[in-house]
Amino acid sequence: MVLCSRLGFTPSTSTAVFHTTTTNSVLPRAKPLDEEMPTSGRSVSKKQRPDTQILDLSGKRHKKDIDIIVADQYLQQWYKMETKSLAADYLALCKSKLSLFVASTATCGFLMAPVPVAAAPLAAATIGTFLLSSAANSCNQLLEAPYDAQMRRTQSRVLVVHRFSPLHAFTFAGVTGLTGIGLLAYYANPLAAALGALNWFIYAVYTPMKRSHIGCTWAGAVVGAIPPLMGYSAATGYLDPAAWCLATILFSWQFPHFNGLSWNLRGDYSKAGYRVMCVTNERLCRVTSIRHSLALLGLCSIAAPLTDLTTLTFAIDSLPVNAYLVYLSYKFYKAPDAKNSRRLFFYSLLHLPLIMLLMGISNYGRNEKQKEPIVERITNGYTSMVESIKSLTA
Amino acid sequence: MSSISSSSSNVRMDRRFDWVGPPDNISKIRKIMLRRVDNESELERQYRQAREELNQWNSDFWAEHNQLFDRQKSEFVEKKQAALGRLEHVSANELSEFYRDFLNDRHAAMMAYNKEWYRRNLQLIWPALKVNVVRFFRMARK
Repeated sequence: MVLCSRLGFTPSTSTAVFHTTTTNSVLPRAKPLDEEMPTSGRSVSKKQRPDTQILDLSGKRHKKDIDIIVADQYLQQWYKMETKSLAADYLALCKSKLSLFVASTATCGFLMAPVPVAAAPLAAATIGTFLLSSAANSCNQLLEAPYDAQMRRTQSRVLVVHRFSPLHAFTFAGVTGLTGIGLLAYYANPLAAALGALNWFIYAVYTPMKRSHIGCTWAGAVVGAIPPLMGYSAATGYLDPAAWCLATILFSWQFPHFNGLSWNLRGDYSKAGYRVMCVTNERLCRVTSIRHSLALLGLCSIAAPLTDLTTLTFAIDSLPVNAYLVYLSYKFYKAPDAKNSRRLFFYSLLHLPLIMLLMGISNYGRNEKQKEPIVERITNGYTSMVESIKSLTA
Repeated sequence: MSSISSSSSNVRMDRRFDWVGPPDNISKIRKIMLRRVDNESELERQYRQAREELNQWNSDFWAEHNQLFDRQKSEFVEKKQAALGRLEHVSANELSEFYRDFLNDRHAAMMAYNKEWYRRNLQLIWPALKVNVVRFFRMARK
């Protein structure tokens, strides 16, 4: 039992280990095979074999009841392949926190678009991106179950502990992915849907690439860069240099983020067979972190106002945020150890939401509608939102 | 059938349910036992056996791979330690040399395993679908 709690779950059969529920008549009766029957041929008998334990099921004594004959000391750690809470397991399957983060980058992309905000496409962009990210993550878990079992970080994922069958996960991926694409195509526009499908495809290619080629990190960074493009195109229907600038910001961010995370897990990654930079080419790992942190500085402070993605104020107020990232990357580059990599990773988790927030703030007031006086702006915004919802439900 | 990973071949469970066991010590893969009925059709039997075998095959591969890793790692550490003497420990950065070389040595084997795993896993989706349809109709008939 201690082992089970260390693994982070409790078996569904808790203290009454094999006390199955009384006569579930829907379940078919499975007669044990001849070689499984105890040699006495009787049901639960007083005759105990020295090395086996015969347990009774649910107090009823049917001759044909299945006797559980166990000689394994890990008896209590066997549990039924079922879910206690399907919703919680689905959220785990789709890596809900990561998907929410990805959906928030899509929302940011949407809000940065130089068009008035409409409720239906915004909802479609956010929910559609969330669903597509869930689909991609489910496919990933489906294909990576034995690898996830090897690493401590991932060993309690739902498909590693067999919460449901691979077919179930596959269906979940299919349903969420197609729903996401459908939502984007119908309520936003086909470009966003196409980008979503492309992203799902790239993620599916990136998954096996993790084991074959060091370029997997770049592919993964592209996967992270596309959601803002999806959001932007959901709003506008086209992609202009401002959108690409935003996507490049997210692309560059992935490197300090991932390199910081993976540095401490080099042993695990090597054992599980992942060809990531931190294992195969350490110098590249350190160099890309600092290279891309500097790129972020340039992107936020020069390219963003230049492409009219943001105002000049963003160029200035993002400077300290990016400067600290450059500083941490530099420290990581000079002295790559556990402490520096952890600090870099945790700061990268703070850095991106901060940058997105600053972008949103700087963009406020730039859309045509937002130049109106405030009372009019509120009433107009309200009426347009109501109209959008009406067209959504019509 | 002998396998490197510990086999709990004398565990017999209630056949009406799917069971999942604890992770194997070396391979970290959990053993599974899928449910079956009296009048199991050929299709269902094949699917069940294929799934259980795939899991066992995974377990065997990882058991061998992990044993290799642990053995080579301890050899590497011994060699380095002997060179360093008694006052110092093998640093993380020196270990990283081992990690890199191990990954490169195992590249071909891992690629072959990965391809095979994908092929067999995806191949089982269609039979799984068929089996679920059969089970659904069996339950509907009741």
